[in-house]
Amino acid sequence: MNRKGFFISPVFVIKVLFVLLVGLLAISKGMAFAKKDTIFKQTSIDDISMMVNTLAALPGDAVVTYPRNLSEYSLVLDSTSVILFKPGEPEQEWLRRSFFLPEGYTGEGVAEKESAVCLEKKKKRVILRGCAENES
Amino acid sequence: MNRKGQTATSEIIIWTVVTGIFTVLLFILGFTIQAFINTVIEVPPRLEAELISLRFTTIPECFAFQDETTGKVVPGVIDLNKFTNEGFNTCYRSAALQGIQSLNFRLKLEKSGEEAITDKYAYKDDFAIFKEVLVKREGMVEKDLLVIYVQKVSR
Repeated sequence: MNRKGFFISPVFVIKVLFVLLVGLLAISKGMAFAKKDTIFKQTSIDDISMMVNTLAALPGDAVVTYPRNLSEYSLVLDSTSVILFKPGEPEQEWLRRSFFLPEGYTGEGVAEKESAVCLEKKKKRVILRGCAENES
Repeated sequence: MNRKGQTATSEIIIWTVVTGIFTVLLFILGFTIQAFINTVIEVPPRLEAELISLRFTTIPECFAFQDETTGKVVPGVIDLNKFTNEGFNTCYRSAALQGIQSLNFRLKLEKSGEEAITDKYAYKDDFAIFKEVLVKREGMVEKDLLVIYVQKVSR
C-alpha cells in the first residue's frame, strides 16, 4: 500500500474481527434464549398445574378454558403430574409439574396440538382435553 | 529485546487481558439472561399456597363439613373431627410430592387452638394466610379464624 493510500494495519483488522466475533457471540446467545420457548413452556405448565390445584378445590363441577394457544404442544395429565412437550422434542426437554390431588381424585387426559385446551372437573375426575367449539 | 519485540509482547499481554475480560463478560451475560428467565417464570409461593389451600375449607376430603344424611358439602365450615394431622393425608401430602422440597402447611384455628400439619412440616413458618371460617363441633357451629402457616419450598 502506498503512503497516500488508506492504510489498514493487520492488527487493526484482527481487533475489529475480534470485537465483531464477541458481539456476534453475545447476540447469538441472546437470540438463542429469545427463540427458545422456555418461558412460554414453563409459564404454561405452571398455569395448568395451578388450574388443576384450583379445580381440585371446587366442591362442584366446572370447565375452564386455558387462554393461551397451545397448538404447538402436547399435554398429558395423570393423577400425579402434568407433562408438556413439543412433539418430536427429546424427552429431556419435556416439562413436568407434580401435584397432589385429594384422596379419590384422579387426573387424566391428553391434548395434542390443541389450540384451545380445556380442563374439566367432573365429580372427582379432573380431565384435560381439547375444548369443544362452544367452549373456546 | 528490541523495540519491535517489546511492542509484540505488550500486544500479547493486552490481548490476553481483553480476551479474558470478554470471556467473563459473556459468562455474566449468560448468567444474567438465565437469572432473568428464572425471575419471569417463578410462581410466587404465596399464590401457589393460596390456590392449594382453597381445598382445605371447600371439599370433604379435606376439612369441609359434609352432612352425613344428605351428603351435602358445606364449603367454609370446618368439621373439627377431621381436623387432624391424619386428616391432612387425604387432602394434601407433601411426601407424595417432594417432601420438604414442596409446600407444607400448618393449619391453626385461632379460637379453638386446634392444629393440623402436613407430613413434612418442619415448623418453619415463612408466611401465613388468614381465612374466616365456621367450625362445627358437636352439633354447634361457631366462627373462627383459620391461620394457614406456609413453609416455603426449601432448596
